[in-house]
Amino acid sequence: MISLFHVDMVYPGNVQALTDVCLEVAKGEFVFVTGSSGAGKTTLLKLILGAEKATRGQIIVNGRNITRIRRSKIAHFRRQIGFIFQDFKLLPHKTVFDNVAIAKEVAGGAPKEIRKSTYLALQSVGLKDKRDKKPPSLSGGEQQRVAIARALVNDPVLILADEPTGNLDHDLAMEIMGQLMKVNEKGTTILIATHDKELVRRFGMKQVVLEKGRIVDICF
Amino acid sequence: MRWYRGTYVLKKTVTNLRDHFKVHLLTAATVGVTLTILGVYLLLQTNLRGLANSWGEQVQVIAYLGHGLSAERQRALQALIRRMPEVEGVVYRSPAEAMEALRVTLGEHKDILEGLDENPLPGSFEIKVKKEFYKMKVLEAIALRLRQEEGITDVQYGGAWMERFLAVLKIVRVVGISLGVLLLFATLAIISNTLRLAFYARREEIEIMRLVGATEFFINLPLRLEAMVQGGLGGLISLGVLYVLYRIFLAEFRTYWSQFGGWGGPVFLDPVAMVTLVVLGLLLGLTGSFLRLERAPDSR
Repeated sequence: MISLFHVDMVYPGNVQALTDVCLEVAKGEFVFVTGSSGAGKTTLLKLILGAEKATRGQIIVNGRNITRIRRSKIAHFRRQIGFIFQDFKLLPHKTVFDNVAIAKEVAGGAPKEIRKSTYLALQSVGLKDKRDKKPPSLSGGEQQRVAIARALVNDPVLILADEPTGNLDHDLAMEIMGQLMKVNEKGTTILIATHDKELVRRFGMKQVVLEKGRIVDICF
Repeated sequence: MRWYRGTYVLKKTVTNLRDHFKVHLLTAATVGVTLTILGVYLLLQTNLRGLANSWGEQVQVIAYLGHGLSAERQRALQALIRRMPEVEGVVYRSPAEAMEALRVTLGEHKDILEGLDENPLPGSFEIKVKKEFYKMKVLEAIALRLRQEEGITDVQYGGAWMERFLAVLKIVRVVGISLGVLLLFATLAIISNTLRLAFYARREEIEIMRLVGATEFFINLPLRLEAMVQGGLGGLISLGVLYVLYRIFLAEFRTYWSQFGGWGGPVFLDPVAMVTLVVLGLLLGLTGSFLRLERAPDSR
Protein backbone atom coordinates (compact mmCIF):
# COMPACT_ATOMS: atom_id res chain seq x y z
CA MET A 1 0.00 0.00 0.00
CA ILE A 2 2.80 2.43 0.95
CA SER A 3 6.45 2.25 -0.14
CA LEU A 4 9.07 4.86 0.64
CA PHE A 5 12.52 4.59 -0.97
CA HIS A 6 15.37 6.66 0.47
CA VAL A 7 13.19 9.67 1.16
CA ASP A 8 14.72 12.93 2.35
CA MET A 9 12.76 15.99 3.31
CA VAL A 10 14.49 19.32 3.83
CA TYR A 11 12.39 22.38 4.64
CA PRO A 12 13.43 25.90 3.65
CA GLY A 13 16.19 27.15 5.91
CA ASN A 14 17.98 23.81 5.51
CA VAL A 15 15.85 22.14 8.19
CA GLN A 16 16.34 18.40 7.73
CA ALA A 17 13.01 16.76 8.69
CA LEU A 18 13.55 13.26 7.26
CA THR A 19 16.73 11.47 6.22
CA ASP A 20 16.93 8.38 4.03
CA VAL A 21 13.57 6.96 5.10
CA CYS A 22 12.69 3.55 3.66
CA LEU A 23 9.36 2.00 4.64
CA GLU A 24 6.88 -0.62 3.47
CA VAL A 25 3.29 -0.75 4.69
CA ALA A 26 1.11 -3.56 3.35
CA LYS A 27 -2.56 -3.26 2.45
CA GLY A 28 -4.78 -3.63 5.54
CA GLU A 29 -1.96 -3.05 8.04
CA PHE A 30 -2.36 -0.98 11.20
CA VAL A 31 0.88 0.89 11.87
CA PHE A 32 1.97 3.30 14.58
CA VAL A 33 4.61 5.88 13.69
CA THR A 34 6.18 6.88 16.97
CA GLY A 35 8.87 9.25 18.14
CA SER A 36 9.29 12.37 20.20
CA SER A 37 8.22 15.85 19.04
CA GLY A 38 10.22 16.93 16.01
CA ALA A 39 11.14 13.36 15.06
CA GLY A 40 9.44 13.78 11.65
CA LYS A 41 6.14 11.91 12.20
CA THR A 42 3.89 14.66 10.82
CA THR A 43 6.24 15.29 7.89
CA LEU A 44 6.09 11.59 7.00
CA LEU A 45 2.28 11.65 6.98
CA LYS A 46 2.21 14.88 4.93
CA LEU A 47 4.53 13.33 2.34
CA ILE A 48 2.28 10.28 2.03
CA LEU A 49 -0.77 12.55 1.65
CA GLY A 50 1.00 14.60 -1.02
CA ALA A 51 0.75 17.76 1.08
CA GLU A 52 4.54 18.16 0.91
CA LYS A 53 6.95 17.21 -1.84
CA ALA A 54 9.93 15.07 -0.88
CA THR A 55 13.35 16.60 -1.52
CA ARG A 56 14.74 13.19 -2.55
CA GLY A 57 13.49 9.64 -2.98
CA GLN A 58 10.34 7.96 -4.23
CA ILE A 59 6.98 7.47 -2.52
CA ILE A 60 4.46 4.97 -3.91
CA VAL A 61 0.96 5.06 -2.43
CA ASN A 62 -1.71 2.66 -3.67
CA GLY A 63 0.25 2.10 -6.86
CA ARG A 64 0.95 5.77 -7.61
CA ASN A 65 4.31 7.45 -7.42
CA ILE A 66 3.30 10.66 -5.72
CA THR A 67 6.71 12.27 -6.09
CA ARG A 68 6.00 12.37 -9.82
CA ILE A 69 2.28 13.02 -9.73
CA ARG A 70 1.12 16.19 -11.48
CA ARG A 71 -0.08 18.96 -9.17
CA SER A 72 -3.49 18.91 -10.83
CA LYS A 73 -3.85 15.19 -10.01
CA ILE A 74 -2.98 15.53 -6.32
CA ALA A 75 -6.57 16.47 -5.41
CA HIS A 76 -7.96 13.32 -7.04
CA PHE A 77 -5.28 11.23 -5.35
CA ARG A 78 -6.19 12.62 -1.89
CA ARG A 79 -9.79 11.45 -2.27
CA GLN A 80 -8.61 7.87 -1.66
CA ILE A 81 -7.09 8.89 1.66
CA GLY A 82 -8.74 9.91 4.91
CA PHE A 83 -6.83 12.27 7.18
CA ILE A 84 -7.44 12.77 10.92
CA PHE A 85 -5.82 15.59 12.89
CA GLN A 86 -5.01 16.08 16.54
CA ASP A 87 -6.99 19.35 16.58
CA PHE A 88 -9.90 17.75 14.62
CA LYS A 89 -9.93 20.50 11.96
CA LEU A 90 -13.71 20.87 11.96
CA LEU A 91 -15.52 23.97 10.78
CA PRO A 92 -17.22 25.39 13.87
CA HIS A 93 -19.96 27.28 12.01
CA LYS A 94 -21.07 24.22 10.04
CA THR A 95 -23.15 21.33 11.31
CA VAL A 96 -21.70 17.89 12.00
CA PHE A 97 -23.43 16.67 8.83
CA ASP A 98 -21.90 19.45 6.70
CA ASN A 99 -18.45 18.85 8.19
CA VAL A 100 -18.59 15.24 7.08
CA ALA A 101 -20.33 15.91 3.76
CA ILE A 102 -17.65 18.39 2.63
CA ALA A 103 -15.26 15.52 1.78
CA LYS A 104 -17.92 13.90 -0.39
CA GLU A 105 -18.94 17.21 -1.98
CA VAL A 106 -15.45 18.05 -3.16
CA ALA A 107 -15.18 14.55 -4.59
CA GLY A 108 -18.17 15.37 -6.77
CA GLY A 109 -20.92 13.12 -5.46
CA ALA A 110 -24.56 13.61 -6.42
CA PRO A 111 -26.70 15.17 -3.62
CA LYS A 112 -28.52 11.90 -2.87
CA GLU A 113 -25.27 9.97 -2.75
CA ILE A 114 -23.68 12.62 -0.50
CA ARG A 115 -26.60 12.42 1.95
CA LYS A 116 -26.51 8.63 2.04
CA SER A 117 -22.71 8.31 2.47
CA THR A 118 -22.62 11.05 5.12
CA TYR A 119 -25.45 9.43 7.06
CA LEU A 120 -23.72 6.02 6.93
CA ALA A 121 -20.36 7.50 7.99
CA LEU A 122 -22.01 9.25 10.96
CA GLN A 123 -23.86 6.06 11.84
CA SER A 124 -20.61 4.09 11.84
CA VAL A 125 -19.12 6.41 14.48
CA GLY A 126 -22.39 6.55 16.46
CA LEU A 127 -23.15 10.21 15.78
CA LYS A 128 -26.15 10.09 13.44
CA ASP A 129 -28.34 11.69 16.12
CA LYS A 130 -25.99 14.66 16.43
CA ARG A 131 -25.83 15.46 12.74
CA ASP A 132 -27.47 18.87 13.16
CA LYS A 133 -25.25 20.00 16.04
CA LYS A 134 -22.32 22.34 15.62
CA PRO A 135 -18.87 21.00 16.63
CA PRO A 136 -18.33 23.41 19.57
CA SER A 137 -21.35 21.86 21.31
CA LEU A 138 -19.77 18.37 21.18
CA SER A 139 -17.21 16.77 23.50
CA GLY A 140 -13.60 16.30 22.32
CA GLY A 141 -14.20 12.60 21.69
CA GLU A 142 -17.32 13.32 19.68
CA GLN A 143 -15.49 15.94 17.62
CA GLN A 144 -12.76 13.45 16.81
CA ARG A 145 -15.42 10.92 15.82
CA VAL A 146 -16.84 13.51 13.43
CA ALA A 147 -13.35 13.83 11.96
CA ILE A 148 -13.19 10.04 11.63
CA ALA A 149 -16.57 10.05 9.88
CA ARG A 150 -15.22 12.70 7.48
CA ALA A 151 -12.16 10.54 6.81
CA LEU A 152 -14.41 7.54 6.15
CA VAL A 153 -17.05 9.13 3.96
CA ASN A 154 -15.19 8.54 0.68
CA ASP A 155 -14.45 4.88 1.55
CA PRO A 156 -10.68 5.49 1.66
CA VAL A 157 -8.08 2.79 1.09
CA LEU A 158 -5.82 4.47 3.62
CA ILE A 159 -6.34 6.56 6.74
CA LEU A 160 -3.58 8.78 8.06
CA ALA A 161 -4.05 10.02 11.61
CA ASP A 162 -1.75 12.59 13.18
CA GLU A 163 -1.92 12.33 16.99
CA PRO A 164 -5.67 11.56 16.83
CA THR A 165 -5.87 11.07 20.61
CA GLY A 166 -3.47 13.87 21.53
CA ASN A 167 -6.22 16.17 22.82
CA LEU A 168 -8.31 13.48 24.51
CA ASP A 169 -8.29 11.91 27.94
CA HIS A 170 -7.50 8.20 28.36
CA ASP A 171 -11.07 6.86 28.05
CA LEU A 172 -11.86 8.94 24.99
CA ALA A 173 -8.52 7.97 23.45
CA MET A 174 -9.45 4.30 23.88
CA GLU A 175 -12.85 4.98 22.31
CA ILE A 176 -11.27 6.63 19.26
CA MET A 177 -8.72 3.83 18.91
CA GLY A 178 -11.59 1.36 19.06
CA GLN A 179 -13.27 3.19 16.18
CA LEU A 180 -10.08 3.06 14.12
CA MET A 181 -9.61 -0.64 14.86
CA LYS A 182 -13.14 -1.26 13.57
CA VAL A 183 -12.31 0.60 10.37
CA ASN A 184 -9.08 -1.38 10.01
CA GLU A 185 -10.97 -4.66 10.42
CA LYS A 186 -12.87 -3.80 7.25
CA GLY A 187 -9.58 -3.73 5.32
CA THR A 188 -8.59 -0.06 5.42
CA THR A 189 -4.87 0.53 5.95
CA ILE A 190 -4.22 2.80 8.93
CA LEU A 191 -1.12 4.81 9.78
CA ILE A 192 -1.18 6.64 13.11
CA ALA A 193 1.48 9.10 14.22
CA THR A 194 1.69 9.32 18.00
CA HIS A 195 4.14 9.97 20.79
CA ASP A 196 1.88 8.14 23.28
CA LYS A 197 3.93 5.03 24.16
CA GLU A 198 1.18 3.70 26.44
CA LEU A 199 -1.29 3.73 23.56
CA VAL A 200 1.13 1.84 21.31
CA ARG A 201 1.94 -0.68 24.03
CA ARG A 202 -1.73 -1.33 24.75
CA PHE A 203 -2.68 -2.01 21.11
CA GLY A 204 0.56 -3.79 20.20
CA MET A 205 0.51 -3.18 16.46
CA LYS A 206 3.42 -2.68 14.04
CA GLN A 207 5.51 0.27 15.15
CA VAL A 208 7.85 2.47 13.12
CA VAL A 209 10.14 4.44 15.43
CA LEU A 210 11.47 7.76 14.17
CA GLU A 211 14.31 9.70 15.76
CA LYS A 212 15.66 12.96 14.39
CA GLY A 213 14.15 12.21 10.99
CA ARG A 214 15.51 8.68 10.65
CA ILE A 215 13.77 5.33 11.12
CA VAL A 216 15.67 3.73 13.97
CA ASP A 217 13.46 0.70 14.56
CA ILE A 218 10.51 -1.20 13.12
CA CYS A 219 8.96 -3.58 15.64
CA PHE A 220 5.90 -5.82 15.74
CA MET B 1 -19.10 19.98 -14.66
CA ARG B 2 -22.15 18.03 -13.55
CA TRP B 3 -25.26 20.06 -12.68
CA TYR B 4 -25.02 19.33 -8.97
CA ARG B 5 -21.42 20.55 -8.93
CA GLY B 6 -22.64 23.80 -10.50
CA THR B 7 -25.43 24.03 -7.94
CA TYR B 8 -22.95 23.44 -5.13
CA VAL B 9 -20.65 26.18 -6.43
CA LEU B 10 -23.55 28.63 -6.78
CA LYS B 11 -24.82 27.84 -3.28
CA LYS B 12 -21.31 28.29 -1.96
CA THR B 13 -21.00 31.65 -3.73
CA VAL B 14 -24.31 32.91 -2.32
CA THR B 15 -23.40 31.72 1.19
CA ASN B 16 -20.00 33.40 1.00
CA LEU B 17 -21.53 36.65 -0.27
CA ARG B 18 -24.06 36.56 2.57
CA ASP B 19 -21.49 35.70 5.23
CA HIS B 20 -19.16 38.54 4.21
CA PHE B 21 -21.85 40.91 3.01
CA LYS B 22 -20.33 44.15 4.36
CA VAL B 23 -16.88 43.54 2.90
CA HIS B 24 -18.37 42.62 -0.48
CA LEU B 25 -20.66 45.64 -0.47
CA LEU B 26 -17.74 47.92 0.36
CA THR B 27 -15.73 46.51 -2.54
CA ALA B 28 -18.70 46.80 -4.89
CA ALA B 29 -19.05 50.44 -3.78
CA THR B 30 -15.35 51.02 -4.50
CA VAL B 31 -15.73 49.50 -7.95
CA GLY B 32 -18.83 51.68 -8.30
CA VAL B 33 -16.85 54.85 -7.50
CA THR B 34 -14.17 53.97 -10.08
CA LEU B 35 -16.71 53.18 -12.74
CA THR B 36 -18.67 56.35 -11.88
CA ILE B 37 -15.54 58.41 -12.53
CA LEU B 38 -15.04 56.54 -15.80
CA GLY B 39 -18.73 57.05 -16.57
CA VAL B 40 -18.46 60.81 -15.93
CA TYR B 41 -15.58 60.85 -18.38
CA LEU B 42 -17.67 58.89 -20.91
CA LEU B 43 -20.59 61.29 -20.44
CA LEU B 44 -18.28 64.27 -20.86
CA GLN B 45 -16.73 62.76 -23.96
CA THR B 46 -20.10 61.86 -25.51
CA ASN B 47 -21.60 65.27 -24.87
CA LEU B 48 -18.55 67.29 -25.88
CA ARG B 49 -18.49 65.32 -29.12
CA GLY B 50 -22.20 66.02 -29.57
CA LEU B 51 -21.55 69.70 -28.98
CA ALA B 52 -18.65 69.66 -31.44
CA ASN B 53 -20.84 67.99 -34.06
CA SER B 54 -23.62 70.52 -33.64
CA TRP B 55 -21.13 73.39 -33.83
CA GLY B 56 -19.46 71.72 -36.75
CA GLU B 57 -22.69 72.20 -38.67
CA GLN B 58 -22.00 75.90 -38.46
CA VAL B 59 -18.40 75.90 -39.64
CA GLN B 60 -18.48 77.75 -42.88
CA VAL B 61 -16.51 80.06 -45.09
CA ILE B 62 -18.24 83.21 -46.31
CA ALA B 63 -17.05 84.77 -49.54
CA TYR B 64 -18.35 88.34 -50.04
CA LEU B 65 -19.00 89.48 -53.58
CA GLY B 66 -18.40 92.89 -55.12
CA HIS B 67 -21.37 95.11 -55.97
CA GLY B 68 -22.64 94.87 -59.49
CA LEU B 69 -21.26 91.41 -60.18
CA SER B 70 -22.79 89.89 -63.29
CA ALA B 71 -25.08 86.90 -62.90
CA GLU B 72 -22.84 84.97 -65.26
CA ARG B 73 -19.73 85.58 -63.13
CA GLN B 74 -21.71 84.75 -60.02
CA ARG B 75 -22.74 81.36 -61.49
CA ALA B 76 -19.15 80.69 -62.60
CA LEU B 77 -17.82 81.41 -59.13
CA GLN B 78 -20.50 79.20 -57.55
CA ALA B 79 -19.58 76.33 -59.90
CA LEU B 80 -15.87 76.86 -59.15
CA ILE B 81 -16.45 76.71 -55.41
CA ARG B 82 -18.69 73.63 -55.68
CA ARG B 83 -15.91 71.79 -57.52
CA MET B 84 -13.39 72.36 -54.70
CA PRO B 85 -12.71 68.98 -52.99
CA GLU B 86 -12.98 70.45 -49.47
CA VAL B 87 -16.43 71.88 -50.09
CA GLU B 88 -19.58 70.04 -49.09
CA GLY B 89 -22.03 72.66 -50.34
CA VAL B 90 -22.39 76.30 -51.32
CA VAL B 91 -25.39 78.61 -51.04
CA TYR B 92 -25.73 82.03 -52.59
CA ARG B 93 -27.18 84.71 -50.35
CA SER B 94 -28.36 87.84 -52.13
CA PRO B 95 -27.94 91.37 -50.65
CA ALA B 96 -31.72 91.42 -49.96
CA GLU B 97 -31.54 88.14 -48.05
CA ALA B 98 -28.53 89.41 -46.12
CA MET B 99 -30.50 92.54 -45.16
CA GLU B 100 -33.47 90.43 -44.05
CA ALA B 101 -31.18 88.25 -41.93
CA LEU B 102 -29.69 91.38 -40.37
CA ARG B 103 -33.16 92.65 -39.53
CA VAL B 104 -33.99 89.40 -37.79
CA THR B 105 -30.72 89.51 -35.88
CA LEU B 106 -31.28 93.11 -34.77
CA GLY B 107 -34.75 92.25 -33.57
CA GLU B 108 -36.32 95.23 -31.79
CA HIS B 109 -33.43 97.46 -32.88
CA LYS B 110 -34.09 96.91 -36.57
CA ASP B 111 -35.31 100.54 -36.83
CA ILE B 112 -31.73 101.71 -37.23
CA LEU B 113 -31.82 100.27 -40.77
CA GLU B 114 -34.77 102.51 -41.76
CA GLY B 115 -32.56 105.46 -42.68
CA LEU B 116 -30.61 103.61 -45.36
CA ASP B 117 -31.27 104.75 -48.96
CA GLU B 118 -29.89 101.62 -50.50
CA ASN B 119 -28.85 98.16 -49.33
CA PRO B 120 -25.10 98.40 -48.48
CA LEU B 121 -24.75 94.68 -47.84
CA PRO B 122 -22.97 92.60 -50.47
CA GLY B 123 -24.10 89.31 -51.87
CA SER B 124 -22.19 86.31 -50.55
CA PHE B 125 -21.52 82.59 -50.85
CA GLU B 126 -21.96 80.55 -47.69
CA ILE B 127 -19.61 77.64 -48.15
CA LYS B 128 -19.94 74.52 -46.01
CA VAL B 129 -16.68 72.64 -45.58
CA LYS B 130 -16.51 68.85 -45.25
CA LYS B 131 -15.94 67.70 -41.63
CA GLU B 132 -12.59 66.11 -42.34
CA PHE B 133 -11.28 69.52 -43.45
CA TYR B 134 -12.03 71.32 -40.15
CA LYS B 135 -8.46 72.52 -39.91
CA MET B 136 -7.13 76.01 -39.80
CA LYS B 137 -4.63 75.40 -42.60
CA VAL B 138 -7.32 74.09 -44.94
CA LEU B 139 -9.69 76.96 -44.17
CA GLU B 140 -6.86 79.46 -44.71
CA ALA B 141 -5.96 77.84 -48.04
CA ILE B 142 -9.58 78.00 -49.22
CA ALA B 143 -9.79 81.68 -48.19
CA LEU B 144 -6.51 82.51 -49.95
CA ARG B 145 -7.58 80.82 -53.14
CA LEU B 146 -11.01 82.53 -53.21
CA ARG B 147 -9.54 85.97 -52.53
CA GLN B 148 -7.62 85.69 -55.78
CA GLU B 149 -10.82 85.21 -57.77
CA GLU B 150 -12.21 88.21 -59.56
CA GLY B 151 -15.47 89.41 -58.04
CA ILE B 152 -14.73 88.20 -54.52
CA THR B 153 -13.88 91.11 -52.23
CA ASP B 154 -13.43 89.40 -48.88
CA VAL B 155 -13.44 85.95 -47.33
CA GLN B 156 -14.20 85.16 -43.67
CA TYR B 157 -14.09 81.88 -41.81
CA GLY B 158 -14.83 81.06 -38.20
CA GLY B 159 -13.07 77.76 -37.75
CA ALA B 160 -10.23 78.79 -35.46
CA TRP B 161 -12.29 78.23 -32.32
CA MET B 162 -13.44 74.88 -33.66
CA GLU B 163 -9.89 73.66 -34.04
CA ARG B 164 -9.12 74.76 -30.49
CA PHE B 165 -12.26 73.01 -29.27
CA LEU B 166 -11.25 69.79 -31.01
CA ALA B 167 -7.79 70.10 -29.45
CA VAL B 168 -9.42 70.43 -26.02
CA LEU B 169 -11.54 67.37 -26.80
CA LYS B 170 -8.36 65.47 -27.63
CA ILE B 171 -6.78 66.49 -24.32
CA VAL B 172 -9.94 65.42 -22.47
CA ARG B 173 -9.71 62.04 -24.20
CA VAL B 174 -6.02 61.51 -23.34
CA VAL B 175 -6.47 62.66 -19.73
CA GLY B 176 -9.61 60.53 -19.42
CA ILE B 177 -7.93 57.38 -20.72
CA SER B 178 -4.84 57.89 -18.51
CA LEU B 179 -7.00 58.53 -15.46
CA GLY B 180 -9.17 55.56 -16.37
CA VAL B 181 -6.21 53.19 -16.63
CA LEU B 182 -4.83 54.38 -13.27
CA LEU B 183 -8.24 53.95 -11.64
CA LEU B 184 -8.66 50.49 -13.14
CA PHE B 185 -5.36 49.38 -11.64
CA ALA B 186 -6.26 50.86 -8.28
CA THR B 187 -9.61 49.04 -8.38
CA LEU B 188 -7.94 45.78 -9.34
CA ALA B 189 -5.69 46.12 -6.31
CA ILE B 190 -8.71 46.78 -4.08
CA ILE B 191 -10.68 43.80 -5.43
CA SER B 192 -7.65 41.58 -5.15
CA ASN B 193 -7.14 42.63 -1.51
CA THR B 194 -10.79 42.12 -0.64
CA LEU B 195 -10.58 38.59 -1.98
CA ARG B 196 -7.38 38.08 -0.05
CA LEU B 197 -9.33 39.02 3.11
CA ALA B 198 -12.15 36.68 2.11
CA PHE B 199 -9.57 33.98 1.45
CA TYR B 200 -7.92 34.40 4.85
CA ALA B 201 -11.30 34.44 6.55
CA ARG B 202 -11.92 31.05 4.97
CA ARG B 203 -8.39 29.69 5.03
CA GLU B 204 -9.30 26.94 7.50
CA GLU B 205 -12.13 25.72 5.29
CA ILE B 206 -9.96 25.97 2.17
CA GLU B 207 -7.17 24.04 3.89
CA ILE B 208 -9.64 21.30 4.81
CA MET B 209 -11.07 21.28 1.29
CA ARG B 210 -7.57 20.84 -0.14
CA LEU B 211 -6.76 18.02 2.25
CA VAL B 212 -9.93 16.11 1.43
CA GLY B 213 -9.24 16.39 -2.28
CA ALA B 214 -10.82 19.57 -3.64
CA THR B 215 -9.25 20.79 -6.87
CA GLU B 216 -7.97 24.37 -7.04
CA PHE B 217 -10.62 25.06 -9.68
CA PHE B 218 -13.37 23.89 -7.33
CA ILE B 219 -11.97 26.01 -4.49
CA ASN B 220 -11.41 29.10 -6.61
CA LEU B 221 -14.60 29.11 -8.69
CA PRO B 222 -16.88 30.49 -5.93
CA LEU B 223 -14.26 33.16 -5.15
CA ARG B 224 -14.11 34.16 -8.81
CA LEU B 225 -17.90 34.31 -9.01
CA GLU B 226 -17.98 36.46 -5.86
CA ALA B 227 -15.49 38.84 -7.44
CA MET B 228 -17.60 39.03 -10.60
CA VAL B 229 -20.73 39.74 -8.57
CA GLN B 230 -18.84 42.51 -6.76
CA GLY B 231 -17.68 43.98 -10.06
CA GLY B 232 -21.08 43.72 -11.75
CA LEU B 233 -22.78 45.23 -8.73
CA GLY B 234 -20.19 48.03 -8.82
CA GLY B 235 -21.13 48.63 -12.47
CA LEU B 236 -24.84 48.86 -11.58
CA ILE B 237 -24.09 51.20 -8.66
CA SER B 238 -22.09 53.45 -10.99
CA LEU B 239 -24.96 53.54 -13.52
CA GLY B 240 -27.38 54.54 -10.75
CA VAL B 241 -25.08 57.27 -9.44
CA LEU B 242 -24.39 58.55 -12.96
CA TYR B 243 -28.09 58.75 -13.76
CA VAL B 244 -28.80 60.69 -10.56
CA LEU B 245 -25.90 63.06 -11.32
CA TYR B 246 -27.17 63.47 -14.88
CA ARG B 247 -30.71 64.33 -13.69
CA ILE B 248 -29.32 66.84 -11.19
CA PHE B 249 -27.20 68.42 -13.92
CA LEU B 250 -30.23 68.62 -16.23
CA ALA B 251 -32.34 70.28 -13.56
CA GLU B 252 -29.64 72.77 -12.56
CA PHE B 253 -28.47 73.87 -16.00
CA ARG B 254 -31.63 73.46 -18.07
CA THR B 255 -31.57 77.05 -19.35
CA TYR B 256 -27.93 77.16 -20.38
CA TRP B 257 -27.57 74.93 -23.38
CA SER B 258 -30.07 76.80 -25.52
CA GLN B 259 -27.19 79.24 -25.92
CA PHE B 260 -25.06 76.58 -27.56
CA GLY B 261 -26.85 77.08 -30.87
CA GLY B 262 -28.18 73.88 -32.38
CA TRP B 263 -27.22 71.63 -29.46
CA GLY B 264 -30.14 69.71 -28.01
CA GLY B 265 -28.61 69.48 -24.52
CA PRO B 266 -26.75 66.76 -22.63
CA VAL B 267 -27.65 63.13 -23.28
CA PHE B 268 -27.17 60.11 -20.98
CA LEU B 269 -24.98 57.16 -21.89
CA ASP B 270 -26.30 55.03 -24.73
CA PRO B 271 -27.26 51.38 -23.99
CA VAL B 272 -23.96 50.08 -25.38
CA ALA B 273 -21.98 52.32 -23.00
CA MET B 274 -24.19 51.26 -20.08
CA VAL B 275 -23.70 47.57 -20.81
CA THR B 276 -19.97 48.25 -21.28
CA LEU B 277 -19.72 49.76 -17.78
CA VAL B 278 -21.38 46.73 -16.17
CA VAL B 279 -19.30 44.28 -18.24
CA LEU B 280 -16.19 46.27 -17.31
CA GLY B 281 -17.18 45.80 -13.66
CA LEU B 282 -17.54 42.04 -14.18
CA LEU B 283 -14.17 41.87 -15.92
CA LEU B 284 -12.55 43.98 -13.20
CA GLY B 285 -13.84 41.50 -10.64
CA LEU B 286 -12.67 38.51 -12.61
CA THR B 287 -9.21 39.99 -13.28
CA GLY B 288 -8.89 40.99 -9.61
CA SER B 289 -9.74 37.44 -8.60
CA PHE B 290 -7.00 36.08 -10.85
CA LEU B 291 -4.47 38.52 -9.38
CA ARG B 292 -5.38 37.34 -5.89
CA LEU B 293 -5.92 33.68 -6.48
CA GLU B 294 -2.87 33.02 -8.59
CA ARG B 295 -0.81 34.11 -5.61
CA ALA B 296 -2.78 32.04 -3.14
CA PRO B 297 -0.58 30.06 -0.83
CA ASP B 298 -0.64 26.34 -1.46
CA SER B 299 0.56 23.60 0.73
CA ARG B 300 2.44 22.01 -2.13
